[in-house]
Amino acid sequence: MLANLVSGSVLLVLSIAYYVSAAAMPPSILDTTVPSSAFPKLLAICGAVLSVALIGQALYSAGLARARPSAAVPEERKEPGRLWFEHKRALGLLGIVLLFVLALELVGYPVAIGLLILAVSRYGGYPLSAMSVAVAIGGGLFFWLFFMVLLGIHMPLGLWSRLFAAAHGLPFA
Amino acid sequence: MDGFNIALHTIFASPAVFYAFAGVAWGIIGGALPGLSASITMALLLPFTFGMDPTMAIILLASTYVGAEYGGSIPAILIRTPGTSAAVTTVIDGYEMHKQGKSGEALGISLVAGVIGGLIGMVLVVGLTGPLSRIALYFTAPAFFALGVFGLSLIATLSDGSIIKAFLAAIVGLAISTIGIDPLSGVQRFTFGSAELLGGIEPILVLIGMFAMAELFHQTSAPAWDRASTSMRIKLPNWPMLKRIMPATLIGTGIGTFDGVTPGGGATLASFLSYNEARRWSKHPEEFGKGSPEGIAAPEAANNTVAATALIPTLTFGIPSSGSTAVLLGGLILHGIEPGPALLTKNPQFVYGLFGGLFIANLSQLVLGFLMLPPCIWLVNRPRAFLMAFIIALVSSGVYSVNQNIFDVLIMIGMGVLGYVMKTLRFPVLPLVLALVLGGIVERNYRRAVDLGYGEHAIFFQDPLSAGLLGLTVLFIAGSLGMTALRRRRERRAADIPAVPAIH
Repeated sequence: MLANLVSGSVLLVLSIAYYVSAAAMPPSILDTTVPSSAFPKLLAICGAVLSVALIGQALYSAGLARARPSAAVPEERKEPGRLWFEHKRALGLLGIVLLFVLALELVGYPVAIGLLILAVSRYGGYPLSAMSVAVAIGGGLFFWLFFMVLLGIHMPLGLWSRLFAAAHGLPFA
Repeated sequence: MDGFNIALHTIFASPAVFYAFAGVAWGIIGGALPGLSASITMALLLPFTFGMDPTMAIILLASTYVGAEYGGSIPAILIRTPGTSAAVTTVIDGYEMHKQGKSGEALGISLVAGVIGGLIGMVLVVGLTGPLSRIALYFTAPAFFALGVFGLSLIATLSDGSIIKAFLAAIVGLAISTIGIDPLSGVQRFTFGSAELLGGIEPILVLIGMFAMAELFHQTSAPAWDRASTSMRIKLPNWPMLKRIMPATLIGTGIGTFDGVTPGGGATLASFLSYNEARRWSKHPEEFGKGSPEGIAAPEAANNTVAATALIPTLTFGIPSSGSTAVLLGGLILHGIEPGPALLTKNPQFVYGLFGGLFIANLSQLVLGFLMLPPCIWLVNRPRAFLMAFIIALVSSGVYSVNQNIFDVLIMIGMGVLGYVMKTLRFPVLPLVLALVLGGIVERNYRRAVDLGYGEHAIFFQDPLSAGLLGLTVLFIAGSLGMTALRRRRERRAADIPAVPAIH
């Protein structure tokens, strides 16, 4: 119930902010009877009405549960400890993926992918060993070959591009 | 050229057979890996379809769906872990047969029942798409807008949990679709000065983030699965066994057809319903739950039939019946193919080419079922940590490769976080994804219709088809709200009745 109240309130604020942004859109000479802000405004109104309905539903359920505890419909819930554990695990993975994005520009795609594989496998419970390092190196090579060599996609090379440029006397690579 | 000739031409004069085989092979692998659903397996392929011929790209995606539905039964039978949610029912008798040393037979029944269901489903798709598309002539801009609203409302009302949350999810999806330069007036909308947002948020990023990344965030705390035996061979059913499973297969096919064409039905519901009906009509109902071949045939036929018949509402009305068909719809939009009643008349080459490719995809399961089993078992037996690592690497690389832009990877991760939060707060994801995919079409037709009505919204009620669809939308929402209120009242009444003390 509290979760619904909070999410309803957040969505109500977002709907209002969305409406204000839509209303501030500049008019265009290409506008017809329906300007570009019309549809977003309609969405914002619908969003606000539904958010208020969600808040109302949460308050009604809370009031009902307080008045007649026996009549409250029990919600399926996970143990708070288990829930927090799951969120922590997800946050940890999010951190690793964000670090990978940062590392991409810094150390280059093949190395960053290898490090990502090593970090995720370690985080997933596989001990750091010669095997996990070999899989990470193999994975880095495989993805480099597949995306950069086979598909010809320009992935960031980070410091390798600078080293390559310096070795060949080029201003950039 | 008529439809049959187009299908034959696509099969023999293009690489359709290759893409059908590749899609089924990838689908079997994705389906066999617990935690990777059919929709995730399809979403992972999306970045690689860029630059491909649209027909080939959609054959690849739709074949993946076909393969994933069979692939889900492999871990269900071998390690009691369904690879896809639709394979949950296959676990019941499949794993019992495995314990009795009949894993090969169980896999063979699953394969044959799936192929029969898929082929019958395809015949129905071919038969029904044409007549349904004839109504395209009656569709005008107000009707197209009303159809979009009807589809979104249908998915929202049929989603699990609160209807209000489902509609809010749809509103968020539509709001995301408005980001970027407005194609009609050139005005920048919600870009906040960011050059990367000028082109809008591509549906592919949302699809991969919501389906794949969010699932990976959830999977990181899931327990590990068992190991499968490596000495496994599929045994196709002999004639007496085929005769025995045929009624259950046909029951599964019938229910799968109905569920596939019903938005919100999906393969999971079809497999549950067909299992129950197969037990009810079986000559050996006592064997269900103890390793009954019919208990595998019915749900597997239903799964594969849904993979075919779900194309009917997706192609002809742009209303997907599940997450997998939502990804397929995303694929259509990505490749510039607008689904809807006019698709067959505007683009018959694509529609009949797709049908031809899917016939091949269904048949190819008979070969690929055998060939892909050893690699699937090998993959299932790899440490889960490595599989997760490789999937994250594939997702990130695939998303980057679309526009070669790190910002896209960040948006995909953001969408993954949003998907995770939505799942935690019990907001359904499907209405958001569908709204985002259909957002452009809905808004364009809304503006076109209001323009046609000289700025008046009354045009939506003056057009008979639009008025009918909007009326149906209101009916669906009212009916769904009424049913929810009734169920809640019943639950409260049941909770009010004090428990009768046991008499000792």
